Amino acid sequence: VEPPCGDKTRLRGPFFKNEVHPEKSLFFLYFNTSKGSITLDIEDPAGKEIFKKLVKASDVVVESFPVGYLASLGLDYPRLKKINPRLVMASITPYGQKGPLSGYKAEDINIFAMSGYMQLVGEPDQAPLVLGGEQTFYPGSQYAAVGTMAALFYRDGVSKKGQYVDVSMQEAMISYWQEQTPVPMWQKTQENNTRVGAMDAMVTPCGLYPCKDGWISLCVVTPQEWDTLSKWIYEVTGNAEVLKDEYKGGLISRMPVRDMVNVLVMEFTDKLTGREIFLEGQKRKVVVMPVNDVPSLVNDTQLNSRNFWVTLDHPVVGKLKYPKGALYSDAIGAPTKAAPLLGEDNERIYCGELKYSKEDLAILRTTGVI
Amino acid sequence: MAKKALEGVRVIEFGLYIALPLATRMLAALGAEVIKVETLTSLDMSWYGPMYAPGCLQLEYRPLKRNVTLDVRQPRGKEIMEELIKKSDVYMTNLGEGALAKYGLPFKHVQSLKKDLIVLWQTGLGSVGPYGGFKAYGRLMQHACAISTMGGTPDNLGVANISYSDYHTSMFNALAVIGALERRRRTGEGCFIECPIYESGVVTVGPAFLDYQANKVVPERRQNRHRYFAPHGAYPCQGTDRWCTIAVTNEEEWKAFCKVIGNPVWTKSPKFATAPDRVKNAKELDSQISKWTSKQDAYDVMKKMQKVGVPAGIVSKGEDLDKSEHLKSHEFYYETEYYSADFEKPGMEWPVAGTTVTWKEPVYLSDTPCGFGPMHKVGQDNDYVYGELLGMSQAEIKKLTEESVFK
Repeated sequence: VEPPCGDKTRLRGPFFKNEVHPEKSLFFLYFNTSKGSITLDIEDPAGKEIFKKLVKASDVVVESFPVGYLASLGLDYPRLKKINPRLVMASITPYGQKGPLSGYKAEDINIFAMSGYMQLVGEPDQAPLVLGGEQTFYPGSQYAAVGTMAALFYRDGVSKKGQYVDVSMQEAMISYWQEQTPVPMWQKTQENNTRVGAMDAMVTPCGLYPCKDGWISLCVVTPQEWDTLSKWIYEVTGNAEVLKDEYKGGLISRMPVRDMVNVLVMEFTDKLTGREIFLEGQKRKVVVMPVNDVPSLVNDTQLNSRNFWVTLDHPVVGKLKYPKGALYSDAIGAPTKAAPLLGEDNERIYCGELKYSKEDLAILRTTGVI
Repeated sequence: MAKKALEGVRVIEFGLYIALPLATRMLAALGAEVIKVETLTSLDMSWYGPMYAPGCLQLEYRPLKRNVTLDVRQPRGKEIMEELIKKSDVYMTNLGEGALAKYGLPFKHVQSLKKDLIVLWQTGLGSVGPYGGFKAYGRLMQHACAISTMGGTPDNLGVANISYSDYHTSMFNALAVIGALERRRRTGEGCFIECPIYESGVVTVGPAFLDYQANKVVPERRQNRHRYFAPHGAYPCQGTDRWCTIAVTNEEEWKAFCKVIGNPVWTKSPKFATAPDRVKNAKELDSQISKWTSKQDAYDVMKKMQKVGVPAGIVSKGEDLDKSEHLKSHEFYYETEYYSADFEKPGMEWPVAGTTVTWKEPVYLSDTPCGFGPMHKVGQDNDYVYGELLGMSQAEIKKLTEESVFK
């Protein structure tokens, strides 16, 4: 459901061929595959009534307006529930519906910072950094999807009633770095986690290492993995130092000799290409990962072999490849269509579902309701 | 006690590390009976973390789950695993195909045990394909998934000291399982789902995939600067390693921002007149702003900006999360006990190491709120699961414990 002028993100870059146009926002196109679109001014009294009719015919409302906005229009959950007791409604907002920060405005970088994740990104003694790709969007949406699905399961199987799902993007993001146990650490040591750069702070070797043609990442957790890697390092460098007993062991046992171990590993990675280390390492059951960039993922042989990329044709921007999603199963479908044109389903929904006549539709259009 | 959304659903968790246990932590909070099957015969290194309080890390993964010890490498252990699966709705694992085959528990066999079983297999780089069977740790997935190449500085990749896409994987796991349960309720059918850590992270690259295909644009590492907005960054404040982020996204916010910092002369410069000007001159803009913020308290900067509607937020540390009145108002953290590992002894004899706080699932469901509670000891539920659920006698349980099948 978009306002008559279109969802805000339709005017958000990047754009197809860098042409600013409401049907060419690649941002909008990425996040709206497989959806329909209708236009509706929910601030207009007639628009509100139409929205309520839609709610009556729906299972789920998902919204991300500033806290209190829908209530100011009389369209908050307590009121929508009266119209449709089976309705599940999910709200995704920066700080949730309640509490002192619920009215705070936030962009991705602000939520990232407030969650504490940012404190962990970057080099020691330099500014904390935001991750690329506006990462705070994803955890909040994942929790909202899980909560909504659980609410539907409960509704259909038990209660026959909907419920409200409230997700704070800050808390969702906090939970995405819990392995660093920030609050227990502060309470027990009066210290805080901080940035450690490209090398893991505990596990050694673990992190980014320079190789012949760029970077390679690897991580050794079990004693067996170290035994395998150290033998391989010896094969390549001939440096017997790496085989010493003092370096053997699991997860954190190399902490005291961290610098020396990293030197030994770099001496090795320096002699091979990233691809050589990746493929041979995995063959030997050492966890090695390539450093991919966006172009290499679009052309990735693994993703291609699994038909991860789905080509969708859009009437304005044409064919582009979109991710199928993270899950593989006969029970789960792929994206069915590219993002909708603004209001492309108006007639189908307003006339087909809500039984307005074509003349009604013309009036709603002329009066700016849709 | 309030009803739970997944009450009556039984889930077997057969796996380790982060992504799988986090998924079942969510399912347990939603009311599913999660039974974590593990063995003390092979060491779970994560019991030794974190260094300042070994054992407390387990609260990130174990609350509300039932826990049994079982060595499936023994023939009787494998049979008992099969009995357990038959009594369950969902079976989730992140073990490798080879290990599962060695235990006599390949997926075809597992699926044949119960007609409508939901099986979720979490993989690294995937089950098939050129990288099929490759192992992955979340810490490295930010590189494999290109995320580290999209942020950072021109010289350094933007790296987080975190198991990046393990978390996305955990929620895809949970979503897939609940979706499959709803599907089973409607169709009566079980299903098999694979969720790789790789694809779970790849999808978070986002619109940059389309930007590359359409415009051949590869994301630049522009520190905290935004492609379309300025100012946009983390600005140094009073104190050691104290920062406040500010993001100005339109002219209204720019005017309000200038007023807060006292409308200094430089803000009137044509170099900062419009958003494109500010983006072009972001470096100079940031250094001017830093001069002002570095004399301010980070919280004050945030409050002053928010008061006039400019998006801002401090870079939180553990202490800020601990003190946050906002998180307290949501009762986001709760206190509970954790244990010290001693692999020489049965899990039930491990001592309480202390208490600490852990987080509640950040999904507030109005009618079926997520549960929270203590973690169980390793093997705490052997009597319930083997006795009540599988109907074994106390003598049999004792015998199998002595034979180290329940170890």
